[in-house]
Amino acid sequence: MLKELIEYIAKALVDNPDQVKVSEIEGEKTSVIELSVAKDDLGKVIGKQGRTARAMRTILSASSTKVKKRAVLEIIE
Amino acid sequence: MDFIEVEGKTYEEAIRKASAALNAEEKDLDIDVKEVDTKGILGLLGSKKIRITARLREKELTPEEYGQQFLLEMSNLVGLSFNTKVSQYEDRIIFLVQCDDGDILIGKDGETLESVQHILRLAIAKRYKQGLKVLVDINGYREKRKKALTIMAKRIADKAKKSGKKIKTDPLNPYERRIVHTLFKHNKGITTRSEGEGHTKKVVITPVGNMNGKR
Repeated sequence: MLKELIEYIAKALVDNPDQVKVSEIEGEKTSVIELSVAKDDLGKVIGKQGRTARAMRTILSASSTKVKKRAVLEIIE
Repeated sequence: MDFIEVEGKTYEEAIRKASAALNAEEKDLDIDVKEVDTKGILGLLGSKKIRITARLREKELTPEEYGQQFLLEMSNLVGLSFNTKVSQYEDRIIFLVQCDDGDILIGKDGETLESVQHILRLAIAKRYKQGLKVLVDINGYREKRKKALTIMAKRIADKAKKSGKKIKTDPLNPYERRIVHTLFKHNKGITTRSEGEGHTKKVVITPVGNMNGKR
């Protein structure tokens, strides 16, 4: 669910949606969601001063209270 | 049916038939000419046939519709039930969201709300290749916040006037700072300016005629 959320957001922001890849590494309490995008799109998911990445993390942690599981977002280069 | 093949003596006639069959206007159709049959010389009357396929073009969403769809999709993915009304104020698209678990989406000091708005603005800008102004509000949070900020700012201003010293607010985001600046815009006894770095800055409220404060 959280994985799909990040995937949906990322695809809406980049020039190459087909190169958006999201994987989830599930832990006992915390999941790590790894987002990878085309090299040229890296700036788009990070944003000025990391604002977009921070916004995604904020939405992610808000959503994780709803699904009662913590999740952190890693953007892979 | 979203796809049809028709024949006509002329291109126009074929289009007319296709439009009627699909109940759509020509501008909403994608036309493919399949076959032009010219038996006569230079296409003389009655000797020409043209066959086309017409496909109903997928309706392009407006930024308002897309924004609504985007918010709905996001809320579905996190299992929230959502209800969005869209309106326009000056050049800004306003998304008013009603949501049972609204507090989750607002977050501390509206942080999550700002994030949702930021992402939505980017998604719309990406799709329509132009920066459109958007505002997202959830369960009337912004109105409430505006009221609270106004009360707070007025209290600070009173205190500043009495003491003759400048006073800083809490860190505020751009939208909130604008509320404070606008509040004192026509107030000759008070000047305001933003101070700090990054997304959230403090607003310094300074009484005019203050001898101690640095301008």
